[in-house]
Amino acid sequence: QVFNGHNSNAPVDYAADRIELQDKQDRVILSGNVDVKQAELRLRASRTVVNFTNQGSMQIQRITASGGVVVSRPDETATGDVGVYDFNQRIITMTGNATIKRSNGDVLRGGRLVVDLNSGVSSASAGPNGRVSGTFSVPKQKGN
Amino acid sequence: QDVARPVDTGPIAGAPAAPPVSTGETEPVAFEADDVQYEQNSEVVTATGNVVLRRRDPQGQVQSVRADKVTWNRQSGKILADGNVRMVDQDGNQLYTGQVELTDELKTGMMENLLLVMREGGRLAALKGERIANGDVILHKAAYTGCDVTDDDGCPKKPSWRIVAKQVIYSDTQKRVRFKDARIELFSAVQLPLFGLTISTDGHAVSGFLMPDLKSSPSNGIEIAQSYYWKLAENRDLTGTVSAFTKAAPMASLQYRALTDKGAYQITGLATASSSIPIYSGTGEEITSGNRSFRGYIFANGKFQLDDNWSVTASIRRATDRTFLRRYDNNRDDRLRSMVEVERIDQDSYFSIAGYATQTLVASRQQGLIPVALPMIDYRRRIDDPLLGGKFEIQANSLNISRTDGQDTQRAFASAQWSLRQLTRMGQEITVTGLVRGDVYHSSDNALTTEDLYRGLAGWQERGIATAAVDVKWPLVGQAFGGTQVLTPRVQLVASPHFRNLAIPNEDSRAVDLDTGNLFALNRFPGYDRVEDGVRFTYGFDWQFERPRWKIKTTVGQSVRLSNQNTVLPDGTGLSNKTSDIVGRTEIRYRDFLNFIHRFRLDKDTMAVRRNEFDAVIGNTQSYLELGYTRLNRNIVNSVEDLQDREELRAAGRIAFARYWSMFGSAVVNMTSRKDNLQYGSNGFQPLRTRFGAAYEDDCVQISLTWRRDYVALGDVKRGDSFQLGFALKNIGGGI
Amino acid sequence: CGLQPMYAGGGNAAVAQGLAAVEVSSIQGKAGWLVRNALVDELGVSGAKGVAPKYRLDVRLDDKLESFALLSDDTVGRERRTLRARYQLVDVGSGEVVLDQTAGSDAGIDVVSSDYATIAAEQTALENMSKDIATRIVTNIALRLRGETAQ
Repeated sequence: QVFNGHNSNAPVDYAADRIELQDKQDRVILSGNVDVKQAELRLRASRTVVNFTNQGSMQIQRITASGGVVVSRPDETATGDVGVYDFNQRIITMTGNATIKRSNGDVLRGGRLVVDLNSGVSSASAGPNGRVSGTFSVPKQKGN
Repeated sequence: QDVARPVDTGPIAGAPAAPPVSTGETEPVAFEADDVQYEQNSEVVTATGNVVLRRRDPQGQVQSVRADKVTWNRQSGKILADGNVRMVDQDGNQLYTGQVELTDELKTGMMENLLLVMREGGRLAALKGERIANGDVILHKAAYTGCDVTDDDGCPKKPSWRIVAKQVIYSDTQKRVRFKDARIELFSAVQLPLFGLTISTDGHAVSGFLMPDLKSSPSNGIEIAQSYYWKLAENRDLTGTVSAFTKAAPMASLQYRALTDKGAYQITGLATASSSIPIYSGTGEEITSGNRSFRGYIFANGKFQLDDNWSVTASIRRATDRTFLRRYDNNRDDRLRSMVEVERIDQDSYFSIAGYATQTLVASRQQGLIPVALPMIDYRRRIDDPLLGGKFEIQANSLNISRTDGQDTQRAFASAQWSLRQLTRMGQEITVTGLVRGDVYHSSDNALTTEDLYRGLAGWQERGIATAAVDVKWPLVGQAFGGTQVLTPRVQLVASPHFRNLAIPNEDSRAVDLDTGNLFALNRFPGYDRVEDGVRFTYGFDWQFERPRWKIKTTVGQSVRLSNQNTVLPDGTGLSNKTSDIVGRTEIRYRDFLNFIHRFRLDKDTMAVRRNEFDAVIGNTQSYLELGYTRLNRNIVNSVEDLQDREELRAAGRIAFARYWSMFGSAVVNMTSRKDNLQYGSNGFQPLRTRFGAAYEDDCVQISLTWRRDYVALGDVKRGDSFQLGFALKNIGGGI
Repeated sequence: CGLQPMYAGGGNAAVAQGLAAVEVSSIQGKAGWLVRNALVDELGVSGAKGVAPKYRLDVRLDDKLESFALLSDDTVGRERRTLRARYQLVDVGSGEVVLDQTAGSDAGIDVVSSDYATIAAEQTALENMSKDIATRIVTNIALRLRGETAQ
């Protein structure tokens, strides 16, 4: 399926138990079952901080989520303790036993996870004692 | 292709735990790496930094692959491992290569400059390897060796032999490596062609040609024997051998071995056609030439444990003529025993029904006089005596002896023995024994037995036997010379009424010889046909001493007959006269270095030595010297065909030197003087068998040359020297 | 050199009672049956019955027949049958191997013209050797038990 890269400036809608706008610091704090959606990308966490700039219209710079962060995209779900979505570089970074689960059953576990929305490459590194681990699920050969 | 390339064969560092066995449609492949990149759209995974993949094959065995970098196209299932690649297959064989393509089942595809180190020992290197359609991998310019490539302290060592071949087929499904027109390179100097070679990669036996044997003997000239080993199944195999001789027609031999769930058996057959010169003519005159005929030998044996109690054991050995084995199988047995036995054994009873037949190969013996014992039935049961706490042992035995040209004898007896063992306060062990036995014999053609002491009276004979005995042992223990000693004086009184002996045919009490083993036995005759009667008093002591590194055991004894006795025995057996000879045995053992045994029997009157045997072993398993001397000087009147006098010296030794070399030799010298044995005595020093050889053996090859000299010509077996070249490759895991 | 009776005090002394608590496990083949019977008889010297087993005696036998004493026609004159026993005394409670030794016995047999007579002599030699081996094993066990009770 041809992937045309994720459109980072698609509209973002939020849902959370509590939303607190801190105007002076140009940021919004959402807490309690936070659920953020942007096109086919979805981010859930227990607490997020959204930083934005305010020259004229509101531009989101960065979303920092913590507490059981789950980022799901078609064919891929990434989880971790802390997740940072940088809208300018269009990169999501997950840290704290970060895991990627692919729809085809592959699993990647590492200390640090970087999902590059431009190239569509997710890379894992620096897990426990510097190793990344996981399993690939290989279809059973009819033959053997 | 450098077979001796040093590689790390230890466990793979940084390997993930083995994946669980696959359930359902997919199989998990566990991996670990320093970092991993997952290309979203093309589904290409790139892992770098000590990447380890591990997978379980359908049988649940774990395979692992290690590489510096792995690119895995998840859609096509193609994996490329690159940089110090190391694979461990399910049988523990390790494959090292620079770069390899793998399928997602971790099956190797193309690879260059690979080295396969087998778990069972043995290394296979090749310049190029490619997998073909049927899953086999074709290796080009390959070399194999079974030798260690590093010596004890780890420095690289040149392997003693290498097998090189232009093409090798490595099939991991059949777990086999087949060499095409291979050549063996010995000590990187000599190159010998080997036609086909097959090696197994899982240590199991595999069919193939075995290493040829090279021998020479005076009667057959030079012999080359080529064997083929055929593995029929996990528990059955067949080895066929063809031997070609320069001075005789070729011989074929076949050995079939099988393991069943109840037991195991093997059948070996040898067959050839050549002219044999019979050595037993029956008419006494020398025959110089024989006619050309089929000759052969069959040897089959097996044991089957049917259940906890019942078992069947059989061993059949037959040859077509008396000199075949000595000439073709360099085996010097002078009799071939065949037996079949069915046994039932449980805690308190023993039952056996057996048959024995022997083919004699001795020049002077007539086969028709050799007995066949069929059936020989023996039943024993032990019962506790409830009244006095003793032990009953009842026995029922029957025997049927038949000879084609000699006496036939049938025997049946039943006996009951009661014994009670008590300890006195002073620590004496008193054993009281009572035995009653009833015998029934029937014999015919007694006149055909030359020896009148054995003949007995023809027809039905009965005999009743009763024996009572008191045996007192007083084991005393104490410390001495820094060790523990146990001195056990022993006295025994045995009394039996007179009963008939010479009237009874003697089939199994002929090998009479008093020694420390039977001195205190109730009946010191072997077998059952002769029983000592009258009253006798036997005394002796047993001394055992043990301290660190030393063990000494000695036993001495004599017995005195209190009642006069008609001679049942020829003089000289040590049992015949009023007082028996003095018998003794001494064993001295110093660590595992020296083991010395001396057995003797002294004539009571003249103190002449009737039997004198020394056996000494000095040295360790690598270098040792064995010496044996036997002198039988019973001067039994030599009309008796058995128990003749003999004197012999035996020596054997091995010296190991220069780490891999060893020399060995053995000799048997007949020193029986003419006086003792007119026909077969020697002039005092007649070597009969001498053997000498040298061997080179390291961790992967064994080469030996043995020279043997036979001094006895027998029929078509000539006197003279024989040579044997032994050559064996180790860690070859299969036939060549 | 201070010799004392091994079984001083008779049947109910510590050593004899100790022997009665040795249970002999079954041993393979006819030689095993004979050796086991001889062991049971020797160990039962105290006459005590139904004693709870404290030790278990495991024995493995090795039976060998060699021929020698050749005459100048290369025929064999004598045989020697050697019976060796490798035995272990195991403390039933702790499973600890208390004694692990070997004992051996041998007998010379004349090879006579009738091969069945030689076979019979080999079987009689086995019967005598199994009694001798049993005595040697029980003596060593008694020595070991004495060492423990250390009169």
